[in-house]
Amino acid sequence: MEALTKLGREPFLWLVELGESFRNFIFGSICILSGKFSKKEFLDQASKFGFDTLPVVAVVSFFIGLALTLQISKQLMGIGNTSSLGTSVAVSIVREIGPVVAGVMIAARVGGAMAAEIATMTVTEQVDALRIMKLSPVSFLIAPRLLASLIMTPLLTVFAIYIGSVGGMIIAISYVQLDPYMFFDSFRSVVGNRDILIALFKAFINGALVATLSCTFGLETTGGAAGVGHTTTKSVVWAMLGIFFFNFLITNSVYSVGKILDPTFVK
Amino acid sequence: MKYLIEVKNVFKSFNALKVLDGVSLMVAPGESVAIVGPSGVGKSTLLRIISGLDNFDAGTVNVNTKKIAMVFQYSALLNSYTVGENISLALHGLKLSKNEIYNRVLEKLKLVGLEKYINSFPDQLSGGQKKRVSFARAIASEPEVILYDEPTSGLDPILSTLVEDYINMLANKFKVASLVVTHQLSTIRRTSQRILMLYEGKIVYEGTPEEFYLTDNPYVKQFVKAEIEGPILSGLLG
Repeated sequence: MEALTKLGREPFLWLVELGESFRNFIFGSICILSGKFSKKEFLDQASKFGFDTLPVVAVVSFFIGLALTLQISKQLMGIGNTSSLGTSVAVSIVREIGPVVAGVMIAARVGGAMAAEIATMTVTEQVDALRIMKLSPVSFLIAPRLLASLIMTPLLTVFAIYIGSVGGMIIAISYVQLDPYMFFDSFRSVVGNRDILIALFKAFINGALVATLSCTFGLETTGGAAGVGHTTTKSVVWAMLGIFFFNFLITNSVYSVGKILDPTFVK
Repeated sequence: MKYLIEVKNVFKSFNALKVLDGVSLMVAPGESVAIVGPSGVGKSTLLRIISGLDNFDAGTVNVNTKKIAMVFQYSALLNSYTVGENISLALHGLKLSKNEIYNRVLEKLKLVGLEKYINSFPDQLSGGQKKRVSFARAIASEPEVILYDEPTSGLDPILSTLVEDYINMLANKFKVASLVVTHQLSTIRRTSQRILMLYEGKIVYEGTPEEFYLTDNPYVKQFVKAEIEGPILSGLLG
């Protein structure tokens, strides 16, 4: 009977974990807003974000910018309309590719490391030691990581958009023989402040997802070294799923709401 | 008499596995109590319940002091913090100035003979040094009771003796009550005034260290003599 109960509960365990993550996000945000978090941890985490993620985000965004522009230019050259290359690349990179690529890279690079670090602290009783010393894991571990992630993910997203656009421009100049001014004119004609704000909002959500899921799964870890490995994989997978899901949700919402508020928005 | 720790009829299960089956124990101020028993009988679970780290299913647990500290089996020092920072974390709620914190940390490190390692990181220390730092961290907030989870496990006999001396020093010099969970006979003999033996979730024996070695209790006899034949192994093997 107990085995059956466990079997029945198992499929819904992820819901419990997501609920726990949401609770940690709320409590972590309260700690940030009230200033009750470890400043040393925050500085450590923010610098780790920058040093660990900047090079990999740069390389991946650059190559995605190259490949994407190459694909689009092939299609546009086929119909003889290369002048709209900048527009197509801009829409893809600013609205979708930049936030998603930066988010995925952060989930893989920083989220995985964050989950592994906290999971190791959990299985080696370091988190218990904090609790005994009346230091809340939420204010000591989650809040500084959440704040670092909320600040650094949008910055890295802007950086990914910039580097991806540079990659696109290189293809536009070298392969399509497009004038760089023409490329950036059409780029700028379609990208407004609203697009940048939406990209930053997506980045903000991605940052919250990566930090909250990694920390929550880390704190729930059991089972020694094997448990640490399992937690690391799980946190990266869930963070990526969350990034793709919320990216679609925000894009869809923006188009639905944008259509109602401003019919010219959907270009 | 006002006890520091009062555990009454506590039950705890992990799914179908009953770990604690109506355990009761009291610890008076300044008293040194050892909980002994073979591995996997719920000693550490009992300690975690007393410390508030784990929940229990039924019974009552009263810890009549907020000044409680714990020494963990593998020291549990934070690797990204220096030795000094690790100890100062225990002082975060005491509203001390930076100078007072520094002096308190240095004073506790001197007690364990590691003051020159104040700026070192835990991974630069040996296992024994880490254990001594965890002692310094435990006493930094000047607690009334310290819980020890296997304090001498994994240490060589000389380091074990040193750790046992620390436990006695804290009890004698600072009048700190101690609850030591262990299965090391030398630790039991040298550090406790009262011994409780836990087996299959129940306290199967309680007495002084002198009585512990002379009793006819079959569980204690088998445990002390480290014999394979007896009620313990048959119980563990099911």
